[in-house]
Amino acid sequence: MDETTDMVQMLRRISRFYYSESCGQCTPCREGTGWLYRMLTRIINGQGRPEDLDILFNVSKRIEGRTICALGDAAAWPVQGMLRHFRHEFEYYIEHGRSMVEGVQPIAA
Amino acid sequence: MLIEVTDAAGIKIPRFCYHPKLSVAANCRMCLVEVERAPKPLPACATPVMDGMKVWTRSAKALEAQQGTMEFLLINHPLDCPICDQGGECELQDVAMGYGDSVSRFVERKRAVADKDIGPLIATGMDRCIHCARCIRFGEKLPACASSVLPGVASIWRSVLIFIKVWSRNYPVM
Repeated sequence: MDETTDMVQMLRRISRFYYSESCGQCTPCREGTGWLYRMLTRIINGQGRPEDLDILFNVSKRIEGRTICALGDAAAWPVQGMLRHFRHEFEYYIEHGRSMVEGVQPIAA
Repeated sequence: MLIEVTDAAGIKIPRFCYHPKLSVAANCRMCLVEVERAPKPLPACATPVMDGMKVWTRSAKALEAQQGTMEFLLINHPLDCPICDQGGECELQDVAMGYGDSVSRFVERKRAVADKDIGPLIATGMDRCIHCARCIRFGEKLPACASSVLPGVASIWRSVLIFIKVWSRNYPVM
């Protein structure tokens, strides 16, 4: 990864992984991973709202430490880290409906 | 377990998957409480009682955990209670009155799944399932209906239904 990587799409790919891998036994991970993924997909499709970033962070906080195994933590931490370090990329997506990285191709997720 | 002690003491802790006559699953995460020296909230239904332990069931940390779980349970649950057959006598509705938000932050589409056909005597509404897995654990106790593998055997299901009715009358959940 370098500066030509779209971190929002990257995070959506990570969230998709945890959404698929969640076994569905305990509530925060089963429902929360799907919520994170759907919210990120909406932001990437250009329908993000300014309040979405706070909801994203809050949902990840509500998954973290409340699950039986560590998959919930593992799904929540990338979201918190990305929001901490690349918040401007998310804000650009919400404001302009497209990536701030020039010429970025949509990646499969 | 902690929840047995609090129940005996008359302290209400919300729960969905716990039932005194079933095995402990700890998967609904509704009964999370704050325990002294524990970094994370712990499920009361799966936490053994120890000498001198301090537990807060209504502290800010515990309530936040319970409200978070409630929100997660409701995001994929239809919110059309007035048309639901179970509306008004629903544990989820009761607990949601106490711990749920009045407004949903979830604007995406909800999960939709096909209903399961498990014979003529039991109707399912799988969209409304909150995955407490009590039915599965109940099935494990009765070898005849484990995993719903015998959908055609009506007599078994009839006896199961009667058993469920008698059993739930004797051991109400809340």
